Amino acid sequence: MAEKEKKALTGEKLMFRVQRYEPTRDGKPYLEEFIIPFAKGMTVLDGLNYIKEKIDSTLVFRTSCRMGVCGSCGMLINGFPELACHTPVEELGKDVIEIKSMPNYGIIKDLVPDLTPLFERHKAIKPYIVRSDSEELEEPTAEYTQSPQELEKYLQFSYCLKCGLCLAACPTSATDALFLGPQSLAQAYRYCADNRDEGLRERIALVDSGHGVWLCHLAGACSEACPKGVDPALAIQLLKRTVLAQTLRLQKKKEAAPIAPPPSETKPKLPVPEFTAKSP
Amino acid sequence: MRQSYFRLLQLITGVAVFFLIAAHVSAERLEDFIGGFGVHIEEPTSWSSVMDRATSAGWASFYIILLAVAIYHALYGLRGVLMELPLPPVIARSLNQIMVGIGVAVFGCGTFIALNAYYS
Repeated sequence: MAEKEKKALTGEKLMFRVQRYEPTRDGKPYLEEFIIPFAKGMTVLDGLNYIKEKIDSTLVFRTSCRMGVCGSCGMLINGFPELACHTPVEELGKDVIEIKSMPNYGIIKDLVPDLTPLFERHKAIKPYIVRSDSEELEEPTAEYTQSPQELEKYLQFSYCLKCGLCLAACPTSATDALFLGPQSLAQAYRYCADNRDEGLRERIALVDSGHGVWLCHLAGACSEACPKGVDPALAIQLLKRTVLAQTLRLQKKKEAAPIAPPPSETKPKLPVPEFTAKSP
Repeated sequence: MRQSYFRLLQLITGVAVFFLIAAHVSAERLEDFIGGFGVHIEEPTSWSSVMDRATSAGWASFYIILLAVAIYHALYGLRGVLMELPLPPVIARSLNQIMVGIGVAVFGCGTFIALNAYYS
């Protein structure tokens, strides 16, 4: 970096070193440098938007909600997979910010990863409630019963955004392209732990395979990368326990949640207290 | 066969290897220690002592079991490591067969030696 640019960076300016790649033109990805003004509270996504609006409109990246909800803007920021909208530049503690496309995925263009493997694996584990009473599932007459305690068993894992950061961080996915990956394994556990679901055996047949749950070495990088605190590493360990319990037949067969009784059969509400004002 | 069976066997053989190796090392190197358990072996590494153990049905069985357990545990672990390497597709596809082949060959060789010594 030139001395003049170094001076310019102190405090007021930032340097974004952004990966550029056009597959039809470039042999391999390269980094392009942009100097942008620093603003208090700005995120990496704000910086990229500034570049796109004011400097180079050909820069390509995914973004949508700007508030860590949609999971579109996953990138490798200074060597760590993070959501660009969720990463304030001040927290990075550097004037030079290097942004690349997420590892363990192909690159469509610039910072846009090809998330096809993530979604293919996600679909493969049947990420929905599997039931034997398919008629009720197709045309529901009531809700399936679920207590708050039963909800707690999987709630944390249902916060997954499908942003793909966990798979980008996973060292096993980096070495084994066929590994199911933390996202789909965590979601497999999320549905297996759901008391309304009856698809445990179908999912176990998939995850208990050569490239399944047993390849996880519990590096924990997925949990560190997850922006929503889903903790896929924990889900995978719980899934291992479930699979082993099924193999050894230690787990009793659970009845799937029944449908809730009609309102007339439910407990009557408490009587209205005397002091409550009644309508005339 | 489901992967969890192999994995379970890996855990069981891991525990078994720990105790069997401990017994083997104790017999070979810690005479005073195993003497406390009432097992007395005079000069365990001498030729006559080794041959005494080799011709005993109990010791021969012990070594064959140790061999089987150690081979399974080692090769399953090695397979796990190799599966994560960018192997050529031909080797990756036939990795299981290669591992089984090596295991059977080593076990066959070791068992042949143990049985040969036992019947000598």
